[in-house]
Amino acid sequence: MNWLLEGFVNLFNLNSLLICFGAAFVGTMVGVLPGLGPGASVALLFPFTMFMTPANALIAVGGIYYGAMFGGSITSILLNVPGEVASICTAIDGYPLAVQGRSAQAIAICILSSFFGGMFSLTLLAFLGVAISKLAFMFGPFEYFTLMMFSICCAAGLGKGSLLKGFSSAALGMLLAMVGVDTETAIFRFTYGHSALFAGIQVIALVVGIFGISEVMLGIQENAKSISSGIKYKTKWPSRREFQLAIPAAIKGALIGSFGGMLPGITPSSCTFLTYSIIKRTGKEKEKFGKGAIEGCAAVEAANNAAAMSGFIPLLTLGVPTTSLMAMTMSIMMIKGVIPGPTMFTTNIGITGVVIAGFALGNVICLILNLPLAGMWAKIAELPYKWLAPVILFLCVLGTMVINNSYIDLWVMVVFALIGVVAKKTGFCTPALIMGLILGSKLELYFRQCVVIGWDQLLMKPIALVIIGLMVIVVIVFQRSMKKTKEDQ
Amino acid sequence: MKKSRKNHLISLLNMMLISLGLPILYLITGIMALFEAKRIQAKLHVEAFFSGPSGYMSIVGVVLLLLFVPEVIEGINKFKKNLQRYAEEQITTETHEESVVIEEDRINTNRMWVVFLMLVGYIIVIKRLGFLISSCVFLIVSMLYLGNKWLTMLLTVSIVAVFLVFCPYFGITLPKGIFGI
Repeated sequence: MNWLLEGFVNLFNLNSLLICFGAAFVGTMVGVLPGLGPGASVALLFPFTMFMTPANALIAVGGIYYGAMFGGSITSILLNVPGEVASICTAIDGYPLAVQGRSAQAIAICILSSFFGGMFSLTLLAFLGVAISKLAFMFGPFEYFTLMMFSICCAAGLGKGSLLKGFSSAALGMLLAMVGVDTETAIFRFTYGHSALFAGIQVIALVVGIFGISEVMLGIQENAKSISSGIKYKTKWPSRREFQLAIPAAIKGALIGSFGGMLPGITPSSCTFLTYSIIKRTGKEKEKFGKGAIEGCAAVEAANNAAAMSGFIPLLTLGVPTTSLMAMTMSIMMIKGVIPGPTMFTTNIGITGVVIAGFALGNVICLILNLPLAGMWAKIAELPYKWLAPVILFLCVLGTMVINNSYIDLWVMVVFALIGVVAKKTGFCTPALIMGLILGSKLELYFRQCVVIGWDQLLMKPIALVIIGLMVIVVIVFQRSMKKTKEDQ
Repeated sequence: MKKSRKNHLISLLNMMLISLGLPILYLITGIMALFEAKRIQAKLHVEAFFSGPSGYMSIVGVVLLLLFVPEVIEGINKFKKNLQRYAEEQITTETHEESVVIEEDRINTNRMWVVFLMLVGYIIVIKRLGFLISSCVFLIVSMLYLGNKWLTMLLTVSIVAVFLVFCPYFGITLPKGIFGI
């Protein structure tokens, strides 16, 4: 555990501390503001990570991610407007509590359990990380190929349409990843003689377009209005009885969140729905659910922050992202020259140590920022969208321009913004596209290695076979659930 | 509520784009991938196909073409259903509230596209006017269009302008236009 302590020591420089604070602040703001999700804001931050060290870049991404999980609870309780998909379940029980005049206790419980969930997951990352990365050294091309396919299959299930739509989106992403020069044979692919395409499609521009700009556009279309609350807020400590109810619920939530978040394709938001349905059945005050149960708030908030944190476990240990946001984080790391994977716990353990320390400090900062200042955040939620939208669009353009001063990037951004807008209506699966794009080059590499070794060797790899089995199960489960939702409609 | 012929055409095109746009995209990219793979293979003169630069590409292309078939069938069905619903909507008279909602929806959608066009214009203008001027113009125009107050607009634009002026001192280079700023 020496490396962890060293990480804490290395964290304490002005640069890292400022980034830690800034990320937590921005993240909470993102969580509070409706119509701006963590995906969009990480996309926005993407270009500016160019100027940071690898560890600081990761701390910034993580800060925005868990900050959003913290902040989302405030608006769902005080205003009944979840700033985030992951805090929809908080609003079910939190808003009735606020109506009863217990908003302060609800917020305190939510933030404390969020903090607990995050810390629990972080401890898991620190301890399990070493063990899993040892396992990862047994992985060869076959295992990685099947694991990445598994990840893509799960991302395909995240779409609203059918599973087939997800697969085709992923395939499109893989083709986009092939644009540019092939690193093995130095042959240009899909460039059609345009020098601007030689280096491939700039992932940052694409991500900013598809997540950032299209989200703003859809926000304008929905005419997101500012909300104002009539509920007064004053910090108040919860009673002992409330703590007694909340603590077991938060532990349950943290367990579900941190183990669920490790699985590919499980976003923090889907984790919260799962947690809420479980806690509803096993809670102590069953009759109160939906009318203001403190247990519901605690479990859900612990789960979403735990899931947000534990998403980093497979990324840092195996180098396999589980959600599109983690895929973005992966490409940030690769641009920085840090290969996510088992080496994060051997040669690059210094970086991992700082990152884990940064996450821990970030969680503490979020706790301090949110608990006494919840009233201020509720005010920030009233920022009008008509003001935010142009500013965010300007930041998107600035960010894309900053990467390498290329106009082509701006056009890529606009084209994918258009695709992102249309995608919402056609059932095109953007998470699968991003997964396909970012994993594309690695998938191809492993595929070719497998071909050279010979596919018949696959039968001798037990880990790969297990992953294939899991993949088949997941595909069947997704297929069934999607059919069911279609029939329900 | 009667609609002009132009409006009918726009809704028809919109329906077509939503239901058939993606399958057509898959068809085009799938065929492109196969042709590209063929071109590369002709250039390489080697036996190895699947371990080369074109093998994986052609597999993905074939997968896209295979997925095109169910997608296009689903798309046509969806298109038919939407068309039927659209035709029914034309016959039944809407209540007042419904038409208000539809009208509001249309206005918001139009607003989104206008802002999108502003963004495209902004990007075109960057090359000529430089980053500073075009950003300020974009912010002024779009903020006033979305209904911000003059004061908020002026404050935001001045903050952005000051930030952009000092950008070079932080090592961020931004494109300059014909005025040299």
